[in-house]
Amino acid sequence: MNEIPVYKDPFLREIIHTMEDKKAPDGFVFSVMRAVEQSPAMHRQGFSGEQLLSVILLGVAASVSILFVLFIPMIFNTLPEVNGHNIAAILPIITKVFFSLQGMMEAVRVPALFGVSVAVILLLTGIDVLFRSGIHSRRQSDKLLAI
Amino acid sequence: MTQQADTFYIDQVIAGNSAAYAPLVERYRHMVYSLVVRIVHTEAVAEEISQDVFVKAYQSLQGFQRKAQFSTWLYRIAYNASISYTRKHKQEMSSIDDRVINNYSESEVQDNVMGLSEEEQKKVIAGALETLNETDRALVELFYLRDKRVEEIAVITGLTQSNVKVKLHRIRKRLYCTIEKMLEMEMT
Repeated sequence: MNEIPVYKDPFLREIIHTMEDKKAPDGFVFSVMRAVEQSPAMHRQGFSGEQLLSVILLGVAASVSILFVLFIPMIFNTLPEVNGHNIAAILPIITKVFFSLQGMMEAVRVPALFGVSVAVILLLTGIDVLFRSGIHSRRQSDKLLAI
Repeated sequence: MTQQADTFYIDQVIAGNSAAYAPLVERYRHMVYSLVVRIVHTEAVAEEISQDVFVKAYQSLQGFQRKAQFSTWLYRIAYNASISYTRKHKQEMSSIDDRVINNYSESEVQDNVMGLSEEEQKKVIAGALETLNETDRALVELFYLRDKRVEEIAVITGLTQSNVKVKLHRIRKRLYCTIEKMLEMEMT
């Protein structure tokens, strides 16, 4: 004879089945369809071509900017033949930004390279935290929906 | 009108025919609403959450990998949305101390319940279900009312199959204990 597992209970099943079924209210389908029509478009899986290109371009631009900010002070300090004014003539806008940043660092008595490095590290940490939280919630959602 | 399989409507919706979603909502609205209201208790909140569940399911339809039935997938979204709501709003139910849930005789409780009128039975079981926490109420809805298998409940809730069984066993003991207490209180 088959024994009923301890988690099953025919008596409870029977009396629970006597309870009234909870039903969605009238007009529910209409409300949902109206909300569906007003909701953003269906999520597509993965990046579209344009999104992918934007992400790559942004990544390259961010990497170049970070490398530039990190290494320009070293070039100024270690290569005497490189004249700051020549570079300023070639890249006037970027050097202005750099010099103003350097001026700010001097004003607060922080060595430029150290200050810029700290600022970059803080910026990268912030971006990392943002990305991680975004990726985490996306993963949770994907895990929930991936069946 | 001929009823089509879920996959027919899903394919239509993914192809861009949003109106094809209506038959799916029609088909599963009571099922979703019933689970949600069982967990969150309040009908107005349950209606809102159920609506959000269908909208989320619509928006995420392409992520449905069809490894499970569409109804299981919907249940999973509904369960998670409802549990999130109750956790955010910190709904706490009085629960019975695990140490005292063995002091009853199942057959005695069953006999006493069978001696009640149908209306009284409904009242007693509804009252006993109210004392369960939100996860347990969901399990009762899925296992006892919807006759879902343990394997499917595990997929919906994200619990392991053995955990589902353990919880169902505890629910069973809790319900008997609560029913016994309710009957005792009615007698005194």
